[in-house]
Order: sequence, then C-alpha cells, then structure tokens
Amino acid sequence: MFLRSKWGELIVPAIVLLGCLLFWFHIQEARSVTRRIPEPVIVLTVLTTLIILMRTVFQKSAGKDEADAALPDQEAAPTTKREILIRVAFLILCVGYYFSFGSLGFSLTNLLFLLLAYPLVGLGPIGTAVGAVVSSLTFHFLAWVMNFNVPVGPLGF
Amino acid sequence: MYDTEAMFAGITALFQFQTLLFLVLGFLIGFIVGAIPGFNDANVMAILLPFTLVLDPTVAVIMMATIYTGAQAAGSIPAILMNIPGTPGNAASTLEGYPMARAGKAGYALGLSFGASTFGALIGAFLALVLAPVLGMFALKFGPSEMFMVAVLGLTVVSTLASESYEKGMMIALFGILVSLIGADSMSGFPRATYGIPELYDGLPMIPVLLGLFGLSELLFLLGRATIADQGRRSSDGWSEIFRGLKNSAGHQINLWRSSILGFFVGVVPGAGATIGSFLAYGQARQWSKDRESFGKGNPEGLVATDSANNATANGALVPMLTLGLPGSASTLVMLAALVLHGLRPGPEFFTTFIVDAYSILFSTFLAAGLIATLGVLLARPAQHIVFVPNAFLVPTVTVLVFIGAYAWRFMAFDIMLMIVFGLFGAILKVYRYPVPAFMLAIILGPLLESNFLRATRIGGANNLFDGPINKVLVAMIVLSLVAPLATALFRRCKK
Repeated sequence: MFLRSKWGELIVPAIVLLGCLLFWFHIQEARSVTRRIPEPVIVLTVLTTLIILMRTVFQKSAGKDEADAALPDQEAAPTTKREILIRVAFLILCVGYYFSFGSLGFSLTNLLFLLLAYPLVGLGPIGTAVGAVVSSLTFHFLAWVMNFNVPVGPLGF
Repeated sequence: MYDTEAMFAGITALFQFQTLLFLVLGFLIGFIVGAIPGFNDANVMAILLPFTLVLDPTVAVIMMATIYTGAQAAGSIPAILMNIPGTPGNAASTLEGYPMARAGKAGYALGLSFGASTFGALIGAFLALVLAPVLGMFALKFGPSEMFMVAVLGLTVVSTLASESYEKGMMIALFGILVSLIGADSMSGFPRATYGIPELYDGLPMIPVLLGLFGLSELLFLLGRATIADQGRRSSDGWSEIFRGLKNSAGHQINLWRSSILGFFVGVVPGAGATIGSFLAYGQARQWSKDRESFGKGNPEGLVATDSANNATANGALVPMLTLGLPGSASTLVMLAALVLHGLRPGPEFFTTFIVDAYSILFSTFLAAGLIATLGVLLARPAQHIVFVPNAFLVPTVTVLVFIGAYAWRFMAFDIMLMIVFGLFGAILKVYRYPVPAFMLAIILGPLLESNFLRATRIGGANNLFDGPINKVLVAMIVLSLVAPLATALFRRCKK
C-alpha cells in the first residue's frame, strides 16, 4: 500500500514535468520577448517539482504530518476496483459525448449520454427512461430559450 | 461635489413602475443564469442587449446591472451545493461552502452566503455612490506596473490555499501560470504551446477550465457516494437553517467590513475582477482568524469573506465603467455597450452630463442588494434539497449541464474536450492533495502578470515596477501578506 501510494504520488509531478517539457520545446523558435516570462516560470516549476519528488522519495524520513499530506486523499480516491471502473467508464462516456456532439447533434447526444450514464451510475430502467427524456427535453428547451448555436443532428434536432 | 437635487431626481426615476419591473426581472434572470454552472451573465446580457433598445436608457442599464448582481449572488448556490462555481467570481465560495453542504449544513451555508452577499452588495453600493465621482480618476493611476503588483498580491493567496503543503501549492501555482501562458503571445503573436490547435490561439478559455477543475472533477468523486450530503436531511427541510445562517452572517462584522471594502477596491481596478477580490478576502479572513485550522473544512468566516467580497466587487466594477468608460469584465463591457447604444457615453463627464441617470443606476444597486436578501433567500429553500438528490440522477444530469456550460462560452465543441481534460487533471490533483483553487487562481492571474510585467518593464525597465506611491503600498501589502502568517505562527508558538 505504501509503495502504491508513493508511486501514485509521482503522477502529478510527472504531468507537470511533461507539461513544462512540451511548453519549453514549443517556444524554442520564438523570439526572446515571447520566452521572457515562460522560461523563468518553467525553471521555477521544475525546481519545485524536483523538491517534491525528493520529498516523495525520502518520504520515510519526513515528519508524520508531511507524510500524511503526501498520501492520497482517502475520501476522494476510489477504494474498490468497481468504483474505479465506474469512473473510468463515466470518463469514456464523457469523451464519447464530445465525439458524437458534432455528428449526432446536441439533443440526440444528450439523450444517448443520459441513457448510458444513468444505468452506469445506478439508476433503474424506468428512472433512466423518464430521466433521460425529461432532461434532454429540458436541455433542448434551455438551448432554444438561450438562443444557443448548437449543432443539429441527422434527424433535424 | 454631491448634487442632492440630482440624487432625488435619480431616486424618483428609479421608483417608476417600469424601472422597478425591469430591475426585478433583471435580477431574476441574473439569478437563474448565475445558478446554472457555466452559464455566463455576460452572454445573456449580450443576447438581451438588442431588446433593451426599446427601453429607457437608464432602465436598460439598471436591468443589466441587476442581472450582474443577481448572477454574482446566485453563483454561490452551485458553488456551495455542488462545488461548481456559477461564475468565476464564485470559485472561492466552494472552499468553505461545499464542505459545509457535505456536512449537512447546506441551508445554513446558503443563509450565510446570502447574508454576506447582501452586506457586500450594500457596502459596495454605498461606496460606489459616495466615491464614484472621485474614485474614477484614482483608477486611472493604475498603469501596467500597478496592475502587475495587484496580480502578485493576488498570488500571495496561494500560501493560504496551500495549507497542507506549501511546496505543492507553489508547484501547482507555478504550473498554473505556465498553463495560462498557452496561446498567442501578446507582444509578438507567437502561438505558445498550441501545437497547431487553432482553438488555443486565444489562450485557454476560463469557463471550460473552471468547470473542469471544479465541476467535472467533483462529479467524478460523487459517483462513489449516494448523495452529496450524508447527514442533516431533517434540518434542511425548512427555513430555520437558512435564517440562522442569515442571522449569523451579521455576527462577522469585522470580516464583512474588511472583505466588502477590499472587494470594492479590487472591483474599482479595471481588469482585476471578482475572482481576485474574493480570493484575497478569503486569504485575509484566514490570516486574521482565530480558528485557521478549520479553514477548508467548512469555516463560516471563509464563506462570509468570499461572498461579501465578490458582491462588493460587482458594484466596484461599475465605478470605472461609469466614470472612465473602462469595462473591467465582459459583463461591464456589455453594460458599457448598452450605455453607448442609448447615447449615454460614460467617461469623466458622465457625472455632470448624465448625473440623474448616474444616480439612478447607483441607487438601483441598493435595491438589488435588498433583492438578494429577499428573493435570494426565498429561492434558497428549494435549492438546499439538491444535496439530498440521489447522485445516480444528479451526476449525469449536471454533467450534461456542465458540457453545455463549457460549450456555451465560445460555442466551440473543442471546449467540451478541454473541460474533460481539466476535469481529469483536477480529479488527480484532488486525490493527491494538491490545492486546485491555487491552480485556478494562477490560471486567472497568469495573463495579467505577464502582459503587465512586459508593458511595465518596456516603459521604464524593472525599476518601474517599484516606482510610485501605489506600487510601494502594494509591495508593502504583498510583504505583509507573506510575512504575517509566519509572524503569527511564530507568535503563537512562543505564546504556547
């Protein structure tokens, strides 16, 4: 468990370092004025990230409070494999929403998303059907009232 | 300096049936828009702009101003109940409001929020009325170097937000600044870190990022719970908790005055905005609190500070808009457009040429404050039940609402994906105890820091940053903000 949380703790620094690297790589051909602020920010970010990495590696020698702060938030973190799978599936549905938004249109995408998401999260079949239809109609009405420029699907809505 | 005759004429014009009708209507529209996460009051105001052309100019601007006030106050409802700020200015309200709602004190938190919002709006209205004729010229003294210092002052709040680990707060705030620099450089136009994605050329859109970091990330966590709040169902059935919160908000006198005045003056600075105002007020509330350890866990002082500050900021933002024609936000920009379209040109002459209209607009902010305490509280009762709606229904429904909010900002499907990416990142940050608000604050302040730093140093070199009395005062405030917590901690340790 200790090792798992310790490896998990490296995720954020890894993302940050990757972000810094991508940013730095992209501005190499830019004029100096463009790099004037990003470069020092990158240096400082990398330095603080390295400090955190060092702390994570030598976590055992740190004080109890600091070690506690480094551990994942038990309330926020999913505890069972099923919970993790539901969250991953929900995220996949969200990405699916983005991809179908342009082709299926606003209202149909909402309906499809809700028809899949409600049962995934634990709503019964009747609740799913009623909830998805009523919510989709409400969102359709909202977009119409607000005069939103939403994509129209193959069925004309 | 104050024309009492014009004041009375302004009040008389305000108490016309048509004016009052559109004032209430504007407030209701703003309130509904503010309560829906991601829906932007500026967009709604822009949509309504052509319709206001048939109205009297003052009525049109009063309606716009009350939409703005209503949205600021109602933005706290989703912030408190679902951890999703209704407007960027309500981001800080999530810090204490949401933990209170999760602990079954949703009604109490809403009561506190509306009490503080009313107070903040009243103080903002009073200060705007008294100081507007003179304060406009003061706002003109804020050049790039002063604005840079204001942004740095805003960043000092990171030390407050990162209470668990200062290094983590620093790291994520620095990364936030870097992320905020994505997009075309203001000086050379070079598209930084866009990797050929045209939607990123204008930089990161704030609303989708905000909805992702606060909204989607929290919705992902709610999947593991039956309802938002596990307890307090019985106490949230009636008015008692809301009125208790409303009453108790008045008990935070010093906090209310400090936060409202701070919020107002931040609002007066064009471009600073309610987000900086509320975060600064939060930082101050924590620094002066006797119970600092409970901040982040549902401390009422923090909620009172943020909500009074952001409502005072809204009224403060009217001052440069009316007296200088300088809009500090998208909302005041639409208000400015409404004034210009009606032939009322804001500027230094506004308080002489259109003095009656000016006073009508300023007095209308008092009525709007009163509406927060009445209509706001009335609507808080049904709203508090959201925390007991089963997440199996709530999470997918609100997720679609969050998608719409992200899309509606620029009407770009790309923003939905951007929101999902930031939602995932926000979730990871929360799991590993990184302060998400610090990251968001840095994203908001980053462009302000960079553009003003470059402008200031181009004009007079690095020394320019410390020249002038305003800069010196701001530097002193920055040093004080950084040193005060250390000094207080040292003092407490010595006392022990």
